[in-house]
Amino acid sequence: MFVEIRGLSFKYKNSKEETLKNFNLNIKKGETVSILGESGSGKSTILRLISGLEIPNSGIIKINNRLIVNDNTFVLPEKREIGMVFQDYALFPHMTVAQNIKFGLKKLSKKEKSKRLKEVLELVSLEKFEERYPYELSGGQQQRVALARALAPKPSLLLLDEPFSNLDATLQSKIRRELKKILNHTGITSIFVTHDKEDSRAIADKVVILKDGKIIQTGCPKNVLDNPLSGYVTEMLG
Amino acid sequence: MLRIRDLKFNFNIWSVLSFIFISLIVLPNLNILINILNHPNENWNHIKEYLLKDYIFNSVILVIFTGIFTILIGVSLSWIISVYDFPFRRFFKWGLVLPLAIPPYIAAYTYNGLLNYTGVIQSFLRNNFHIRVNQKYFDVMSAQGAVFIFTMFLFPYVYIITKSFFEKQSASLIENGRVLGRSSLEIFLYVALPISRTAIVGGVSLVILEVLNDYGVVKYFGIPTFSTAIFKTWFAMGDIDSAIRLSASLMFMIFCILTLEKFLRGRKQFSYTTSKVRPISRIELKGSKKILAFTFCFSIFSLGFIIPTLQLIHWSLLTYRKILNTKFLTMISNSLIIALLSSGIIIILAVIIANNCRISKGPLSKIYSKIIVMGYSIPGAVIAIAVIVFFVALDNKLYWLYRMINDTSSKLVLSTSIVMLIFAYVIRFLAIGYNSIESGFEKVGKKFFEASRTLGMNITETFFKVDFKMIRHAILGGFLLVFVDILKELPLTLILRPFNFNTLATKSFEYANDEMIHEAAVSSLIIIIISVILIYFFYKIGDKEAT
Ligand SMILES: Nc1ncnc2c1ncn2[C@@H]1O[C@H](COP(=O)(O)OP(=O)(O)O)[C@@H](O)[C@H]1O
Ligand SMILES: [Mg+2]
Repeated sequence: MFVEIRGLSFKYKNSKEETLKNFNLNIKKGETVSILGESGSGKSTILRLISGLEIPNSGIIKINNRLIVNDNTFVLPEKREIGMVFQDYALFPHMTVAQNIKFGLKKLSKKEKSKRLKEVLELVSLEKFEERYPYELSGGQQQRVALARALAPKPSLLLLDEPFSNLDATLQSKIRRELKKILNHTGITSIFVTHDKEDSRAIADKVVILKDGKIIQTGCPKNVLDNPLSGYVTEMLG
Repeated sequence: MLRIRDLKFNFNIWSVLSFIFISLIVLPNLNILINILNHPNENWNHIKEYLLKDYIFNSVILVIFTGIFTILIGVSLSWIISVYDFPFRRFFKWGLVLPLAIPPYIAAYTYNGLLNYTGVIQSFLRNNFHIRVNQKYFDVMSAQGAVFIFTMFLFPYVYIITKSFFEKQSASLIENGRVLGRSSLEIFLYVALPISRTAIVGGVSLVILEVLNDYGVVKYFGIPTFSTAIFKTWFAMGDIDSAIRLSASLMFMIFCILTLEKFLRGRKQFSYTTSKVRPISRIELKGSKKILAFTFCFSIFSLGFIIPTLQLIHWSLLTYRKILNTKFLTMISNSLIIALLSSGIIIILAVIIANNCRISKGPLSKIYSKIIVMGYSIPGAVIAIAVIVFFVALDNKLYWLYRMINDTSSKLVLSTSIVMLIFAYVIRFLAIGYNSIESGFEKVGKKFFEASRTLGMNITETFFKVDFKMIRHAILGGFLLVFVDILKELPLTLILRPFNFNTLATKSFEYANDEMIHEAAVSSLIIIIISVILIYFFYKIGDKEAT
């Protein structure tokens, strides 16, 4: 397995209950997994634990056979080589598109940086925008910049937090298709979280349904979304 | 359960440095506490029996009346400025902050010089109208006078905090009240006052801490309070034990005030509205109300700024030829260099600790910010004792090292150097810088920091590439505030400065205390001018951020 998460539990310091309870997940190389759940179910928390922004109370995470966290080990976020697209993109407002994307390329030479910048801009079809500042872009363009920035350092795993939630509803199906194309093109392993089952249906190879920090059901989107096991899933899928 | 892994998560250069700095701040103050456990000496019994009651009484009187008057003036001004429109409102909005540019001890001797028998006012009445006034009404060198001075020059603390509260929080509440057909006065009394309680209490507790910190005014007016008593016991009687005991009593009083503050603020802390701030639509005043509002603002502005400044300009013109010499220039550069250096150090420490507190998930960070805020509540006289005792002990411990470096080294090295004064400034003013930086970080949030981490930058790289650029306004703002405070600071500078090291503040005070009020004017005026310019810049930065 490329990503292995076992027995992950986590509690925020100021909350009473565990936000995440005994979470398990296996992902094959190149797979796109979607975590589907209502707001507050703990989706973002999972991504924060995988990327190293939070530290779990127990459990282990392995990526490509490299142990990144268990009871005795903690690999710092900057050493994990995991790309993340934040829900509100978190583009650095004082940097241009090009500077944002080059930000994660500190190990490359100047020439290599420009080359990589070109590649990812082409990937997200934003070649003409490299000198713009984030506030000069539309929401959809900002999202693509965030994606390009996360992909630029060639991470081994890509995490996307509700990639469609801040976009116009009319744009959604178009952007879903685009994202799917980009993910397929790069062949990257990815996890994206969403509260919209159509997102999962359109993009995911595998769906995990989360409720109150616990997994309710896992499987391929067709099976899970069309044959919900429990009343909750049926209800949530509406 | 403590795990090595979790330590690693929280262990970095920022947390290590923060721990060291905070320990350095705590140590001297702990030292004081420990000293209280010693057996009290005879002198202390005498002080306790005959003098302590007076100190407490005077301090309490000053605190209570200054508190009441600053609330009355500060709150009413902030309400008028935020809710009404009238001529020169925009000027008064920041002009009413300017009394803060005049340190109370300078105001004290200026008003004394202005009002006493030989002063402008009495001379004018005497020479033109042959009026001889009853000296009783013109004597500011009294407790009433001190309350007047503190009120006129400290009310901006209440004004600033309450005004920004009215501007930010209450637009909708006030508008609702208006829609419901309430008069402005009713809205003020029944809506605005109750909801702004937190802000008012916050502002007035700053005023109270300043009053208890003051040494210059009460010394000049001859009012025995804790501050003057600590100095007297220590220098005149040479009884450091009793001075420490007095400090502890004063700290106990401050502790009670802070507890009361917490209680009065209520459970609700300042809440930051996440939605965009909506400006209140101001009511345009007409007729007599317009004149009334203008007159009120103008009178306060005159008493708190124009009158003392004009008087100082007048005296400066009389004396500048005599005063301005190379020695005076050295003094100006002393003042600027030490303020620059100390503010720089304070801002760097504030940034390091604030950044650590925001990143760290450990339990220490909350304690750190409490300790820093405590530092600001410790009056100068107490910090001075703590720091001297600490540095003398340190010098004793380090004597072998001094000898190693220099055979003929004297025993007291650090405690006779500028280091000691800067150290004391850090304890007292770190909170000012820290608050500014912390709120800067709060505005930016953590998302850019986190994005940077996932892009392969460590904490330090992230700070210089991302955070620093985003909080630079907060850094500059904090720096300006600390700089002004240090430039004006009196008690710490007076006691802890190296031999023959004069600043604008100490020289002004010395002249005034030697009955050379006119000679004190030039240095005082320079302090005021620099402060006004920096305060202006500070407000410019704030305005830029708001747009
Ligand atoms: N920093 C935090 N401190 C305390 N509780 C939090 C914090 N962040 C999230 N939570 C709580 O944890 C739960 C899961 O949050 P989150 O992972 O953000 O959910 P989702 O992304 O599925 O909407 C929620 O109940 C939320 O209130
Ligand atoms: Mg979320």
